[in-house]
Amino acid sequence: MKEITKEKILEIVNSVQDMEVTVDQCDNDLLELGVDSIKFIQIVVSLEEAFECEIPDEKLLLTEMNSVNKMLEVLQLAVSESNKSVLESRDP
Amino acid sequence: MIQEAIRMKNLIEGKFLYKQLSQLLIDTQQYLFAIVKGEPLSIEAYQKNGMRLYNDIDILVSRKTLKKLEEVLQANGFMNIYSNYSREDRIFVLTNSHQLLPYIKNINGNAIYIDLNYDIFWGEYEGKRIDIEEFLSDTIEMEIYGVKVKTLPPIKAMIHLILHHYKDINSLFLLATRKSIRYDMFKDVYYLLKNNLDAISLDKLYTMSVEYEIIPYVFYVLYYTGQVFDDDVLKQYIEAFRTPVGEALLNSYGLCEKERREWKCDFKTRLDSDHLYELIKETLTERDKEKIAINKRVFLGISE
Repeated sequence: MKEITKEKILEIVNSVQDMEVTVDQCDNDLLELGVDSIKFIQIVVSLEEAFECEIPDEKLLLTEMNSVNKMLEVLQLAVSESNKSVLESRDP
Repeated sequence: MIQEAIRMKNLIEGKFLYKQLSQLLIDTQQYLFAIVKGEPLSIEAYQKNGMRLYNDIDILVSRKTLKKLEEVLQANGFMNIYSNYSREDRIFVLTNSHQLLPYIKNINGNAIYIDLNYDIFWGEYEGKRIDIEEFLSDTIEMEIYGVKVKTLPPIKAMIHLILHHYKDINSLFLLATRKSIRYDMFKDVYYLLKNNLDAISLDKLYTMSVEYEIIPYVFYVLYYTGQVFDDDVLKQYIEAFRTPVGEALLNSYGLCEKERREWKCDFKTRLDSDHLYELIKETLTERDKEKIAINKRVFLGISE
């Protein structure tokens, strides 16, 4: 599992066409910064690949991850859920 | 005569469908969900079976319960309609739609489709979402063709139907690919209201709509239902729900501000049209077309 950092999330968001989010804009609404539904999917797929986790169904909404900081929270939750299920599956 | 013949056909197909579902419904008893539209709506709106044409079973379930229900479906022999369904496709569906791709099971050459719905809004909706677990907290039990099923009480069936129809009438993808503005949609709304005036009193519907922050959408669907059915009671509801925001929606389509466009034709032309795409294609941007193309690939298996 790779370490989840705000910097890496920013890098992924900004790798999408026409996106330029700065460190100071981590709480800003990504919709207002140019994210649309298609860009959002590109970002989510890249985040899952980069951090080797699966975002829970209930968080797969633009309104749930409409800022870099919210993405950070959701990813941390996804990783902790994933760790929990790995531990449960090992439990005899 | 023709209507009765159609009803008989619906009854035969409905009986077959619900007979096949009985085991699945036993296996899912512990989960919070409701069967929506289809036969339960036929009974609530028209007070008898077989009054609505449907070729799938729609289940409303919270996103949290989605995976568990999928596991039960798979254990009962249902499979996802497309075998090459990727993680990216699932993300697209969960962020842009209210339902997963259909699950399908073939029995003696007959295909049974189940749609798992996890939202009563559309993916593009930016307002406060309705908590589906809360929405499902007061489901009622109904017997359909001898099978006990859980469904929504009339007032929530109305809220669900209104938001569903608003979405169908305004979705660029649906307008581009099917006849998503139809007479029977308004008929369902009208008869659900008319046959449940106590359960869906103006006061109750208004209070719930305020709570869910959906007044403009309720107005929109009731307004157009009133264009099809001239009824004094319905007019009272329409006037009670009228707001400037709701009125501003009437002559536009698109499910969010970025996608909203103005109709260039009147409602009757839209209602009568079998090719709605022809009515909107001039207004679509390249981004709209790209999104429609992704929807077509994921939901219809059509690559352009």
